[in-house]
Parts: sequence; C-alpha cells; structure tokens
Amino acid sequence: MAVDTPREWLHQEWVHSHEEDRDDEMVFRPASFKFPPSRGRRSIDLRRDGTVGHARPGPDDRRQRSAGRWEIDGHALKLFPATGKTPAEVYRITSASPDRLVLRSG
Amino acid sequence: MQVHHRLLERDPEFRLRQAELERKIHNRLAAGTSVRQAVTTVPVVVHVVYKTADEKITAAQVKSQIAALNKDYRATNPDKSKVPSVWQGLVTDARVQFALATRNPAGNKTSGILYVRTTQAAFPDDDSVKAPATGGSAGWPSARYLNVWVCSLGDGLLGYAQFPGGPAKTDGIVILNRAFGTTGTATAPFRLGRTGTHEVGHWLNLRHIWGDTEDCSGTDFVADTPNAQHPNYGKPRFPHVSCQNGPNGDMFMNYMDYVDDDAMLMFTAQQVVRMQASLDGPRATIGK
Ligand SMILES: [Zn+2]
Repeated sequence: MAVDTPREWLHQEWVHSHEEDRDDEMVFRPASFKFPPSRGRRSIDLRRDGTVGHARPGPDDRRQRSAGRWEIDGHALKLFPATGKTPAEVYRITSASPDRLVLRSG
Repeated sequence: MQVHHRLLERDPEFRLRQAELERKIHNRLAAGTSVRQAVTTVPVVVHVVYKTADEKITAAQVKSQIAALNKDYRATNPDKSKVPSVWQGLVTDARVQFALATRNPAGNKTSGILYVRTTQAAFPDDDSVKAPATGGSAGWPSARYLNVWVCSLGDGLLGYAQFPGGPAKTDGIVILNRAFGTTGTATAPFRLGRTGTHEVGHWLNLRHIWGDTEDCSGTDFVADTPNAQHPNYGKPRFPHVSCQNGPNGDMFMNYMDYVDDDAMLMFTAQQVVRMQASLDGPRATIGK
C-alpha cells in the first residue's frame, strides 16, 4: 500500500517481531504487542516531528539508543542519521496497518 | 548499550583500560600462546533475586546452569556434532570451567547461592539488580568471583553482561530466571543454559559475531569468525549469507550470535585465545 501521507497510527514505536520474518521481509509490531523473550529486539520510534528513536541490542546485550530522522517517500521508509542528507537505511513498506508494519530491504 | 557508552564517557580510565586490553590481546593473537595452559576454574556466586515463589529458583536449577557452562566451555557439549562440517575443525575447548563458590569473601563456608528477596517485579538493564539500594544484591569482589544475578527482567530481555575493565561493583552477568539452567522454570527455546554461555563470553571479552553494526563495518576482533551483518534469531538454516561471506555465510551456530539455545553450539580457536587473553590480563586474579 502507498503511505505517501503518513497515517496517524504510523507515529508510534515499532518493535521488530523477528519471529514473524519471512525471507527478506521484516515484521514490526507496536510496542504494546505481547512479545516472547528474546536476546534482543530492534525498535524504531517514528515520531510526528520527523525524528526517529532507535533502540537495538548493544555489545553487552543492553539496549543501545540513538536518534535520527525519518521520511516517507512513496513506498519507501527512509531513515537518516541525526545529521546528514544521505539515508542510512531505506526500506520498502510492503504492508502497513495499525498493528503490523512490514519492511523489505532496498 | 547505553551504559557501556556512558561508562566510556564518564570514566576515561575505563576507555584507557579497554584500549590497553585490546593492545595486549592483539599481541597475544600475534604470538598465538596463552600464559594459562591449564584449565581455569572460575568460582561463581549466584544471586537469586526474587519476589514470587516462581522466581526463587531451586539449587538444582542453579547447578544445571553450572553443568551447562562446563559442557560448553570444555567443548564437551554433545550437540557440537551439529556444527557444519566446514567449521568442525574450529570447535575449540575454552579451557575454562565453573564451580559454585565454597567460601564467601570472609572465608566462611557457602553454597555459592544467595537468595535475596526484592519488591521489584522486574529489573531493567541498568545494573539496579546489583545494589541493595535499588532492590538488588551486592556483588562479591569481582577479582575473585564471577557474579551471576538471576532475576526477572523487563522488556523481554534474556540477559546482559559487563566487559572486563568496567567498574568492580557491577562486574558480572545478569540472566533472566526463565532462561537460566536446563530444568525448573527454564523455558524453551532458552532451556539449555546458553544465555549463560553467551553472557560469560562477554564477561571474558567476546563480542557479537556481527560486530555490533548492521552494515558489515563492525568487527568482533576475531579472525576465524566470518563477518556477518545482523544478529541471527531462532533456528537458521545453513548457510545464511551476508556481508559477502559466501558460500558458508554467517557462523550463526556460534555462542556469540542471537539464535535459540539449541542452535548455538561452539566457540572458535581465536575466540578462545581472546578469552584466555582476558584471563591473562584484566581477569588474571580469577581462579588463582
Ligand atoms: Zn551478547
């Protein structure tokens, strides 16, 4: 689906539900989802003001946080570093609903 | 790993110690020998921090974790036969074993298991389980003991560690009670004690095999583990190729990846050199 104009519900923290991944597709769920225990999970908090909060497992398995910016461009979700105009990561949104966001690399 | 960075920023000495350790390890890897050729026995104190009856795990469950560590760190785990044949030759005995402490810091007899009641339903990954003031249990001197805190953790976390060279007060590893040991409340797919194996790997200075970046630029400072892009989860099928590491791909069956307990099976020769270097360096007083 196209998400040129971000829907209201897109503005939330999405947590990687890696148990649901298929091939090159990553499945994200809202932070309120009942996740099973895991060695670590990546999350992206897509905020209304265009900033994104990242959390991912760090070198000692504690959660490591960083910040950047995000943008929707057609079907693409672009994640930028805090400074700089080149996206650090670009994903194709292959499916999006209030309780499930599916991203594909590239 | 906010706390790790926070330490690097607030404690310049920690950064210096880490740099110095990396320099020594580099020399050790170049020389290819360890000072300790014999097997090191690590005295372990387990702090069981509990609120509910379920969280007060049995001594049998604690001992099952020690037994699992002893298999994995001596490469006597039977499931190492599942390592793909291309890497069978890299499976290496770490020459480390573990025993519950028999003497406390005062020299008195102990079971090596401390039961500490808390009012905390779950602990975050911020070291609060390691201090009585925040509902936890104070560590024993880290120059002599491996401190293991077992508790309920927030955010579905299975455990976290502290690398050598960090503050003594928080030195050790933290493991979710339901991912600890191989019996009792331990729950599949984390019921083979491998969270402990992984966290002790960090305590002996091992890094994740994907190098803690997601763009192939990072490193685990170990030459015989292929460069990998991401953590692997679950039970991957061999081979899983990333970072141009074909045809064999990621060594996801390494203890320092993020797969399920029954999918992690081995340390490599160079990982063992790295662990032994920490026993010759910042952990030189352990097991002596
Ligand atoms: Zn780890």
